[in-house]
Amino acid sequence: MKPSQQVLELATTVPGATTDDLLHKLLANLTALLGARRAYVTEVVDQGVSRTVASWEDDKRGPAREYKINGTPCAMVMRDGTQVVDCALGERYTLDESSLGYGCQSFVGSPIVGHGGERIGQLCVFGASPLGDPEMASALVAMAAVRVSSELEHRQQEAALAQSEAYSKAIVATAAEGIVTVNAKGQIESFNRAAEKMFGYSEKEIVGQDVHVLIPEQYRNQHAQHVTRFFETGKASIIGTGREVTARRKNGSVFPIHLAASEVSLGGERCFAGIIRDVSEQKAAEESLRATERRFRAVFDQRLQLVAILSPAGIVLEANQRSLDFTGLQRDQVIGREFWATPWWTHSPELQQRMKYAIQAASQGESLQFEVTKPRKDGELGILNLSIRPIMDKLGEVVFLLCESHDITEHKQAAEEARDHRERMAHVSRLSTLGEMAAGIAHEINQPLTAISLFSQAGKRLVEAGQFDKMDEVCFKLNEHALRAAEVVERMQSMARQGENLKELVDCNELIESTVRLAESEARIYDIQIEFDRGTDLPPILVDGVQIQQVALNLLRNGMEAMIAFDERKGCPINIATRLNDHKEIEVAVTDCGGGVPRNRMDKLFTPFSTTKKSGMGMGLSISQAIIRAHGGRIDFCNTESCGARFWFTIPASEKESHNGR
Amino acid sequence: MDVKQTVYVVDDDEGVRDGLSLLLATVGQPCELFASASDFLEAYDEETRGCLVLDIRMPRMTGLDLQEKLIEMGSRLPIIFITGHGDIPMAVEAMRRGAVDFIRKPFREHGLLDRINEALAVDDTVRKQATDRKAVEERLAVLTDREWEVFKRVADGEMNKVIAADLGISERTVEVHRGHVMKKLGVKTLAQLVRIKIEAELILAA
Repeated sequence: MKPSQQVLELATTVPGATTDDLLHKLLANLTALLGARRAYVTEVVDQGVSRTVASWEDDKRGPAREYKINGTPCAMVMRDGTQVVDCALGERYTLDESSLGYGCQSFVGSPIVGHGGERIGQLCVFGASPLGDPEMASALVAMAAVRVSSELEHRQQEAALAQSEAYSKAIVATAAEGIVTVNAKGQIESFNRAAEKMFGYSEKEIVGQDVHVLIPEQYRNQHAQHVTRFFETGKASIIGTGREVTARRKNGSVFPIHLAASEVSLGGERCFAGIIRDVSEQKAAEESLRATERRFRAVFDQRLQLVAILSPAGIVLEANQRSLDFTGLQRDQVIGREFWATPWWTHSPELQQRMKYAIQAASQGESLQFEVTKPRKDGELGILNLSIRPIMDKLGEVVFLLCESHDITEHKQAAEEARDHRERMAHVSRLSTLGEMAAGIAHEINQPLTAISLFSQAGKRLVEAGQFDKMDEVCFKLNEHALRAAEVVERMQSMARQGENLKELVDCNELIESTVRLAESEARIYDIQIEFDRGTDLPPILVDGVQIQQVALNLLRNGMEAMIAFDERKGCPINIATRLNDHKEIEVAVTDCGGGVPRNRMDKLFTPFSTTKKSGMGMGLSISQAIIRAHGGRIDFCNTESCGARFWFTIPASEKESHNGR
Repeated sequence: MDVKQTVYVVDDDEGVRDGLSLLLATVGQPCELFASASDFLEAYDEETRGCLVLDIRMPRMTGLDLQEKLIEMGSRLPIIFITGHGDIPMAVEAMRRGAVDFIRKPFREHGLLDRINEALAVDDTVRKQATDRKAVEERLAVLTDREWEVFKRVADGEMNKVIAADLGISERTVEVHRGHVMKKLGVKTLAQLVRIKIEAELILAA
């Protein structure tokens, strides 16, 4: 073969089945052409280390080798480009047995250049004898190196492509989204695993089928129109964007999907890829969230409670419709404002201040509840029960404040009316009692009046007789008895007083003492003695004194009446006793010996208008009960062993005072 | 009156007792004070003279109770009841049983003292009558039953004959009885006999 032919062959060495074959064929041609002994294609593995990619030694393939290039001619190639050593290679370089050029005389090497111009390896040829034509050799090797470079680059690209394809396939196969490709005819070309799962088709059975099998019948027309329009106008209603559509499974059931479609041109053929996400769970979750939201909305917007949600700093974040309607406000009058500065509270600076403090306390984690007034739509002030509650996150940080209130105006008014009613009834009852006691009271007043009349008559005579020495005493007595009469009048007046709803701290014994005095006016008439056992160390009670006296008087009078009606009472006193019971309540008990309460009367004793007496309204005990209950106490009775009845009532001791230790 | 009469005051009210005692003292009227009916009963005896000023309402024993007790004991002590408002039914009962009067509290000066004087006068009269009556009774008590019958009829002006026929005795026997009566009563004439009968009737009727 002529060298020119060889060169041509070298230049036109066509790719074999593989790069490997190509490289070896190239190396074989090159060694033959140059009369060389060995030729290699190497690549850089690491700094200073290379390995052979293809090797041709003594007219056959050589083993793969890895070697250090330092101190070899290869290092020069990597550094300076193509090198030629035409003879005496062994003298210029130290070549041991592991060296590529061991036992050779000549060397030609040229770098293989990578895609970016970097030297990624070299093509080197070792000859057993000195080179005949070094320039020719250098040119041939350099040319071959270029050929190898291009071949390697091509190989790299192919590998990258193969890898990329493998990656894509893996991604498509393992993607959570279903990926379906459809050709221009509408036939399914690929169907990944997620899609298989979603639709219930295997890739095998679905590929080649019309994409319409994945679309519920009622939407197929629509789909066809979309596709047609896309082809005609290029306008896509779905391509490039995603949308929610309904899909059909193999078993015919439908489910919501999110579909993102894209157009791909493969080899000039239009094809569509659809990325599909099953959103039925997401939809269900959304629906459930919406339902929850609706439920909370319903709770939030209910008609009874006025609700506002505040930031920990007291800014109104949300307020329900009821709270706005109550005062007749618009959302923007409260939302985003400081709670205390909203028109809900501006009617009372004092209340605003209080609200400010309350929010401060709530933001520190405290729950508060109190009564407030709030302007109503009609301009009147309503009374509300308001609570502010901190809502905390998992860490215990207050994230917002829940402010709820409900209208207790009517409740309050009703309670007030009931109290007024009770007061009036109690007053009427007191007046009626006084009427019944008139004889006794008249007697009680007549006594001191009589004494006064007698002393004044005597005084007049003493003055007429000029006996002034006794006048001192007369005047003293006059005053004494006048005061005595005044006392009776005062006691009576206080009983006749219209209730002022004034609760005062009073000493229970004093109260009962004065009641006993009042009852004594009657007791004297009936010739009944009243014993008073004073309890010791009684804490004061916070009561409407007149009402409590009324109850005690009622019990005393009832007891006396029973005793009068009961013949065997002679000489027996009625007893009233005060004490502090085990529940730290003041207990006042009246014990008579009037025969006790008949069994058939026991149930109705506290019922209004049930009376066995000839006079009286039958209201005494029912009013007494109402009074005691309004004071937070109880009233009850039992029959005693000694043929009488014991009625008692309790009043809670005032807490205020017990704290002071009084 | 040789012995000053006493006003007995029974009232459970100290002020009233005090006032009454001072007022009575200013008119020189002795009085004794009692706080209860039983206290008074303890001090009471037949010789008690004067009058009783008695509160109608008192514990334990009321004024009415005390009045009843005194009547049972044969006392003729005049009683003035002290009453108050609404005691009228009790006061009426007291009057029915022979109380002298009742006065309502508070008292008007003259009213009270006048009533007390009246009561004391009644006591006086009653006592005098009682003395006279006692004398007459003692005088008449010496007569036998038969002599008493004869005395009444003779003093009424009946003839001996009629008396004898009515009593179923002889006229002579009537004359003997009549002689005994004149002798026992110490009278000499029929006119004197008639006067004794009239006086006796008056006193005994009182």
